[in-house]
Amino acid sequence: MSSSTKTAGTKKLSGKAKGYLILILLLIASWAIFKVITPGNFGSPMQVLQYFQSSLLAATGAVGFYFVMVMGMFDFSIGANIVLSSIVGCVMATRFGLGYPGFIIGSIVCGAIVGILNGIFYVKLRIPSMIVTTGLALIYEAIANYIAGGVEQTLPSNLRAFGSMPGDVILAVIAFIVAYIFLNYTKIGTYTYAIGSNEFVAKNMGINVNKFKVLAFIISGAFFGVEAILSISYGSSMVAVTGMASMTRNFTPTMGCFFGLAFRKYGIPLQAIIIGEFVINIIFFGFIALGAPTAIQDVITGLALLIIITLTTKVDKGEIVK
Amino acid sequence: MKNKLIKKIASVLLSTVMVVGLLTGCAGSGGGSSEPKTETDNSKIKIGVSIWSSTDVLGSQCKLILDAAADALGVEVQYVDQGHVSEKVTASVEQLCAAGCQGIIICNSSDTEMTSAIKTCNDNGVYLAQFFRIISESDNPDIYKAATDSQYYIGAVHENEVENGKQLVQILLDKGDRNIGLIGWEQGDATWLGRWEGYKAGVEEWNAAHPDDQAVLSEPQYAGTTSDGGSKAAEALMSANTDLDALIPAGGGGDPLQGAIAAVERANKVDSIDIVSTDFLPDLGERLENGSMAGESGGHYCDPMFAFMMVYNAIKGNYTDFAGKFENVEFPYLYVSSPDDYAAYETYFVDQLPYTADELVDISNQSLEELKTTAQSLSIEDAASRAAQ
Repeated sequence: MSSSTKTAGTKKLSGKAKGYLILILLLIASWAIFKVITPGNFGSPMQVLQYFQSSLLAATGAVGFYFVMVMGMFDFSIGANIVLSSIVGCVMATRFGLGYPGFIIGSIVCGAIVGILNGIFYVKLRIPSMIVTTGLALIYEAIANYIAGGVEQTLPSNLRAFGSMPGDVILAVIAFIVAYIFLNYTKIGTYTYAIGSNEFVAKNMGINVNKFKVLAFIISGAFFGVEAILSISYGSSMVAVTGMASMTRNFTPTMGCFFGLAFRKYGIPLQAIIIGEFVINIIFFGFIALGAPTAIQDVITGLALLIIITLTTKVDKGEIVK
Repeated sequence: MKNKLIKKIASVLLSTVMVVGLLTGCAGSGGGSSEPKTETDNSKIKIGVSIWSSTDVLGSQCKLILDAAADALGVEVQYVDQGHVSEKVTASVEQLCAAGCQGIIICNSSDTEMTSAIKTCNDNGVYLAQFFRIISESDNPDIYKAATDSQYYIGAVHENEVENGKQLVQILLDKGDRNIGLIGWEQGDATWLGRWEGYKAGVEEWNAAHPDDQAVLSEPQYAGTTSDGGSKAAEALMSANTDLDALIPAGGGGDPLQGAIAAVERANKVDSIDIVSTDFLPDLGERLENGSMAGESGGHYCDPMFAFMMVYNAIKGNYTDFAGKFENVEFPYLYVSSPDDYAAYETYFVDQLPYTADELVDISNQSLEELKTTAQSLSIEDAASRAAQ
C-alpha cells in the first residue's frame, strides 16, 4: 500500500518535473537563440524583466480563460470584454472620482458581469459558445462605445501604477495565485476538469454542468477584467472600437491557453500559460532586436508556436483530432 | 367563377402598381441620367461617411466638424466605421447606398477598394469623394482612370504625406537625434506608406548632405491602432537599441502614440528620447511643455469637411460634369513644436471649431475652385484672423 502510494507520488512528481523541465528548456532556448544571434541588444537581466512584464497582460487573462477552454468552450468576446472593462474602470475612477478602488472594482466586476452574460446566454440558448460570444462581443463593443461617449478614454498618470513595476507584477501574481487556488483547491477546479474530460459522465455523476459552465465564464470574465486594468495602465488609453475590431485582442491570451492545454498532462497548466506567454514575448522582442521585418516575424513566430505545441501535445493512436 | 374574376382584377391591379413603382423608382435613382438635377431640399439630403473609426482621437474630431457642417446645412449624416478592413470598406459603401445616401465620403485603406466603391456609386447614382486619401495615378492607373471616367466620383481631399514625413524627420534631425525608431500601424495602409516614404527620404537626404553625421531609421514595428500595441512596440525598440534617441509613432488615430509616450515615461527616458508624430493629442500642450513630445503635425481633421462640401454641392447640383475630371484638393498639415504653437492651436482648433456655423454655410456656397483655396489656406493664423473679426 505504502509502496504503491510512493510509486504514484514519484510518477506525479516526475510528470510535473518533466513539464517544468520542458518549459524551462523552451524558455532558455528561445532566449539563447536570440542572445547568440544578437548579443548586444537582447537578453540582459533588465531586458528579460521587461519582456516578462510585457507578457503579464495576456498571461493574466489567459489563466482565467483556461477554465473555459478546458471545458471545451470558447470565447470570442475576450477583446470586447477587455475594452468594456477597462473603459468602465477608467470611467469609475475618473468621471465618478472613485480613484483606484473604482478602477479595480469597476474593471473586475464588469469583466465578471460579461462572463455571467456569456455563460447564461450560452447555457440558455443552447448554441455553440463561439456563436454566442461573437454576437455578444458586438453588443459589448456598442455598450463600451456608449459609455465612452464616442471618445477615447485616457487613464490619468496618477492612476497608472499597474502599468509598471511593481504594481503590474503584484496584481498579476495575485491573479495567478487566485487562479491556482481555484483550479487546485476548490470544487470548481475539480469539476472543470471533470466536465472537460467527459461532460456526459460528469452530468451522470450529479454535477450541475450548466452551473459550472457559467461559473467558468464568470471566472474567465473577471480575469479579463484584471487584464483590462493592466492593459489600460500599460498603454494609458483605450478606444471603444466597434465592428468587431476588438477581436485582435483575442489572439495572445488564446495562444497562452494553448500552452496551458498542451501542458495539462504534466499537471502544470497555469505555469505553462505564464511561461508560454513569456516565451511568446521573448520571441517578439528578439525579432525586434534583430531588426527583422514584421512579415518575417509573424511567419517565424507562427511556425515556432506550431512546433512547440506539436512537440508538447501527444495524440494517442487512433484518437480523433478536431 | 366570381372568385376567379376578382383574383384576375386584383392581379392586374397589383402588377400595374408594381410596374409603376418600378418605373418611378428607376426615374428617381438618377442612375445614368445626364439631365441636370433640380435643387434638392437640404432636409432630404443624406450624406454617408465611411470612416475607419468615429471614436478614436482623430476620428472623433472628424465627426465633430462633420456634425457641425451637417447641422449648419440642415442635412443628415450617417457614419459607418470600417476599421480599414478592406472587405468592410467595400461593404460600407454598399451599406450607405442601401441606406439612401445621395453622397458618400470615404477614407479607404488601399486604392484597390476604390474599384468597387466607384462601381457601387456609379450603379446607384451616388456621389463619392475621398478624404485623407487619393488614388495613386502612378501605382494604380486603371483605378485612377475609373475614378476619372466616373460621373459620380468627384475627387479627393488629401495631405501630402511624403512631405509630412520629411518635415517630421527634419524636426528630429534638427534636435540632434540620429537613431530613430519607427512605429507603423497597419502594413500596406496607403497613408502609412506615404509617411514612411517621407521619413526614409528625409533621412536619406540628411545622410547624403552629412556623410560624417549619419542618421539611422529603424525597420518599422507595427502597433495596430491600440495604445498598448504602441507601448509594446516602443518598449521593444528601446530595448533593442539602447542608443535610440527618437521615436516616430507614425499615426493610427493617436492611440499608438499615447502608448509610446507612456512607455518612454515608464522607462524614464523623456529627456533622452524625442517623439514626433501625426494626429494631435488632447493633451499635446502639456506634453510639449514637459518634453514628452518634440513636435507634431496634425490639425487635419477639417479635411473630411471639405470632401463633405464637395459631395453636398454635387447633390445640390452646384458642382457638375465630373466625368473626365479628377478633383485633387491638397490639404495642409499644421506643425507645432512648442507650447506657444500649441496654445494658439488649442484656442482655435480645440476649444472651438475653426469654422463657425455661418462660415460653414459660406463655404458650402463656394465654387469648387474657391473651396480648394479655402482648404489650402487653413492655418492657425487663418483661424485666428477669422475669429478676430
